[in-house]
Amino acid sequence: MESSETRTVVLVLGFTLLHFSLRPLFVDWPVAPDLLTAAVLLGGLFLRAGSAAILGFSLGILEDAMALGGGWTALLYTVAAYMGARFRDLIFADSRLFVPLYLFLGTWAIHASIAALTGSLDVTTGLVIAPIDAVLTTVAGGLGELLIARASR
Amino acid sequence: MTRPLRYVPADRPSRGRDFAIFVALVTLALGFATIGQERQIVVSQYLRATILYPFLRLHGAFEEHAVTVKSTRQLASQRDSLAAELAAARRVAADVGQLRHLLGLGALDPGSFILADIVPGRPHIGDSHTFLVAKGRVDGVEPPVGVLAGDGIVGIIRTAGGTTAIGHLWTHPEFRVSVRTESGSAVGIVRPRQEDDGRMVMELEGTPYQEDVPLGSLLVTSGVSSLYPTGIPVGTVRAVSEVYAGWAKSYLVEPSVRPDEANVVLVWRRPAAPEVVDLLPR
Repeated sequence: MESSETRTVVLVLGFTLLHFSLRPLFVDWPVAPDLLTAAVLLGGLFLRAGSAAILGFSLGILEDAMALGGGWTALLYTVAAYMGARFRDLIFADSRLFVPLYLFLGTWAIHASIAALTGSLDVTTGLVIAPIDAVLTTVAGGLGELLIARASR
Repeated sequence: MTRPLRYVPADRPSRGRDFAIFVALVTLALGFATIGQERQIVVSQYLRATILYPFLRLHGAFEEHAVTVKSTRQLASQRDSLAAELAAARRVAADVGQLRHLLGLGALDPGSFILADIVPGRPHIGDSHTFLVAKGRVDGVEPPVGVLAGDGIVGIIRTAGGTTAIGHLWTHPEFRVSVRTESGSAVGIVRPRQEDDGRMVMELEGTPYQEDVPLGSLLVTSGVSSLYPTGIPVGTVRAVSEVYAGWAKSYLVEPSVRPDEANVVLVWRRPAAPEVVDLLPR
């Protein structure tokens, strides 16, 4: 396995384990980093599109089973991971701002979509809570990527 | 400078395969989202019992730890309060002892308490008003005698065998306890009462019409009939319940202890011989 793939797997696995382990803590907070969404988006960025879709679907099903989310998370994560893998080359993939911007916009879009699909989308959720969640997720994702990159040097 | 993660470029043949996988998974996800809640729960239960099981166990351990920490803090707080109350009670007991000595009365014996577990299974199931405690006559339980928890009255032991005893919770229709306000300004009898929503509360009966019991007053056992020790909290007066044509009032009382909160109780072991004091002037 190549170094980059290993790092991606470690990153995705680490975020997934942290997400499910720390879930009771995050659920009590009004806003929190969404590590599972970060895992899906980063997985989509660094994996092939098919693998990314499988990753998104698998994590989405697990999240739906844990949160009884109605099955929409699996759909959204599959689409998000696939689209992340497919369109990464079309935008400024070499820019330093690409990954943070991608994580921020991706998390915001996913959270707003979940709220819309479950009928709980309002101005506060869409324009306040989801963006703050996205900022926190971006910070967590960036830190995770940095840590993995430094550890593998 | 850290080495960035490398993107994996996709060649044209694999793009078609990736798209096929994507379409299949989207179809599967859509199917899962629309199969209905009951079937989703079956899948969820399977995942929760397998892949997610370690995380759920972990959450359970977190929860247990949080409850333990909270209970420990509560216990420490209760212990501190009890220590302060005990210090005050010792001073009062010493004063009472001196006064009784001056009056030529014997030493006061308030009795003692037997710690007992309420046997699980009641009162969480059904609407039973009875309970079983795992202590009996062998341990010194002599019915009828009051049962209390840390915060107040729980009920009364009605019958006792060798190692177990059966009692009525305060919610039992036949339960009655003689009470007074803490200041002693009003007395009455408390009995259970079912509110319109089915919730059990208490009712203070028999207070004279001209005697107003302030709302929020704590009612404690009066000690009459020697079924309960004196001064045990029963409940707090919440509202006037009924006014009986100018001669009596009754009040709604919020109980100090809800039956389902009591797991460990104290069964009163009354003093060996009831004390008879002649208070009439000679």
